Amino acid sequence: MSALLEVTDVRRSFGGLQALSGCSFSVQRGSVTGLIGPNGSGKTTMFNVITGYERADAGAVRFDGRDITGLSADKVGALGVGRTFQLSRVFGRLTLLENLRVGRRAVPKSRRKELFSDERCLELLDFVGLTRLAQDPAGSLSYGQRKLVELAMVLAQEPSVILLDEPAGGINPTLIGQMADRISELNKQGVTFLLVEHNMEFVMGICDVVAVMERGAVIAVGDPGTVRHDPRVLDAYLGGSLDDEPDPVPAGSPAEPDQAGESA
Amino acid sequence: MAQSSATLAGPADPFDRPAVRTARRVLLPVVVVLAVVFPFVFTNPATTSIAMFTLLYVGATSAWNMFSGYTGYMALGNAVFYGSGAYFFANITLHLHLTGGVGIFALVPVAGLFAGLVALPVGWLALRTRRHTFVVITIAIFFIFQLLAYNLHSLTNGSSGMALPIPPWDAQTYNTYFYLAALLVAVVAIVLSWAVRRSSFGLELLAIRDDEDRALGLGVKTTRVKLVTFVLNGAVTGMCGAIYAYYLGSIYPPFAFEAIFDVTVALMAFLGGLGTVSGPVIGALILEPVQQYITLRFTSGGLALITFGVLFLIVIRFLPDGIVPSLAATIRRRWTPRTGAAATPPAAGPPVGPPTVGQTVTVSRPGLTGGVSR
Repeated sequence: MSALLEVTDVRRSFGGLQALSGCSFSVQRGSVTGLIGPNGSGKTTMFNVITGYERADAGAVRFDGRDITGLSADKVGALGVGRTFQLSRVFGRLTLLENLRVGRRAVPKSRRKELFSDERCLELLDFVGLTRLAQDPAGSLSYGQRKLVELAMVLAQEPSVILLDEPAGGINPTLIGQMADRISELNKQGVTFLLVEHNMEFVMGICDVVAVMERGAVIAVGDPGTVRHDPRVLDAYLGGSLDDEPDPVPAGSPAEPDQAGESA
Repeated sequence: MAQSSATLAGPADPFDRPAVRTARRVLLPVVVVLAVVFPFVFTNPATTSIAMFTLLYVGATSAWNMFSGYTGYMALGNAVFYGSGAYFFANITLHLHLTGGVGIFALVPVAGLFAGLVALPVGWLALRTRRHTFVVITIAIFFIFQLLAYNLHSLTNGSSGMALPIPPWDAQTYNTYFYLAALLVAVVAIVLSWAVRRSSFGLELLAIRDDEDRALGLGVKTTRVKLVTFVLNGAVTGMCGAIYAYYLGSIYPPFAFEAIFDVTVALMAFLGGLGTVSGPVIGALILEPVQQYITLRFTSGGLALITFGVLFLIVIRFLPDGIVPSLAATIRRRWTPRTGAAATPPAAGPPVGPPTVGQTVTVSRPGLTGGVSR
């Protein structure tokens, strides 16, 4: 496994607020990596910096060995980094099929016919269970359905990594299950995922690696089993102590050496 | 496209039925033929004059809609391009010492090209902003151009205006030629607007209208796409302006750069249906004859403006989406029930039905309970 996405010491502040204070982590090729942390810990800002919606004050983002720090959102998207938004965003007055086709011109010319054929678009809608509504405007869908359409929209371009911002947020349990199935299945086909999510059952269920953020930096990285017992993580969530220094790592849970960002 | 929708499982587009398709195929050429024959049947210059102006507005409104209707960026400064086309045409005919006749209609596209060139920096500047700011910026740029027209004497001869070559035709021939020229530009505008609407490029414009930042994330080069369309809009509007100036025989700043023009094209598109291909055409076909008639009949432009205002209020109250979308929705509602229960109303919240999806699915690592709370 090699790192497909590598974030090194990224900083970003809004006025006096330090949203990202030296955030570092990496997403291994072929993994489903979860990014968790309390509200306001900088997860969405991190997403925005990676995908070019927000610039970084310092630090670097590398994708597939290439420095993409500071590239505009359309360029990052065209390189093969797909993303969805926390509050799902679809094109409300376009039909589902049209929604899927918006990204057509962003893929190389040679692949457009293949990726955006009617068959494949319908397949994608079938994949998220919405074929029935193919000709309906996306604005008429329920919130959870929009999340699925957004996923299909991103999938249409066959990105190599997909960033999902709260894929299970605010949707009903049936759809959450469906979303989890879809992600696992795509992952088996080789798609890499980085996802932000508050639903721990969901995260622990589908992620290979979980990175925990607090106050703008990653404070722990590991497999779900390890992370959920890490005292620093419990601290971050439950607010155990007020001092900035996290408790020392117990001997039993080694932190991943290659993924930095230990210092808060 | 047609084959694909046949294979769709969902309710097909009710307009995509053989009868409608045949009607379209037959009706469209009939309309074009009627439009060409019109000035030879109704030869009264008063009538053909109204028809000519109507076609100019069909062209200008289609051009405006191609940008503002598709992208949702409400430009209220299109008179900049109308005026630029008009003054370019006046200048080029003056400096080349051209005499009036059919030949100089060939310079209309050149005037359009010039207006497109003007639209490039204007769009580059204005499109750095969005929404309300964009509207205000376009209005401001419009007033700057109007001011320039009054003061750049070397280019515009200031408020004394410029004379254009007068073709040696009698009233009837005169109007027929101008009518046909305006028709050509209108057809160009409609075809362009239609071609953009059904292309991937046009889909990007509609995506920008609905959620620009989302489109950006899908790799849509929003800045470039908007600017290209803005320039196309400017070019077509400039062609309309050139014909307008040539028809009048003289041009003055308040005619070339007219604030009412900015509002009129928007109003016509609103009435017919913003963002549709046929809407602006229908809006112009309804409003411009009314405006021309009132102006001719009562010789007071003020009355036409009041009528416009009232009409606008009526449209907003009863047809907020415009004529074409409202009609389409009504017809759809009447036609759709034939598919019975399949024609579901938009799902308002219920979960997607049972997993009808083809793939067998299993959650790979089933439920671990909350990893964090002890």
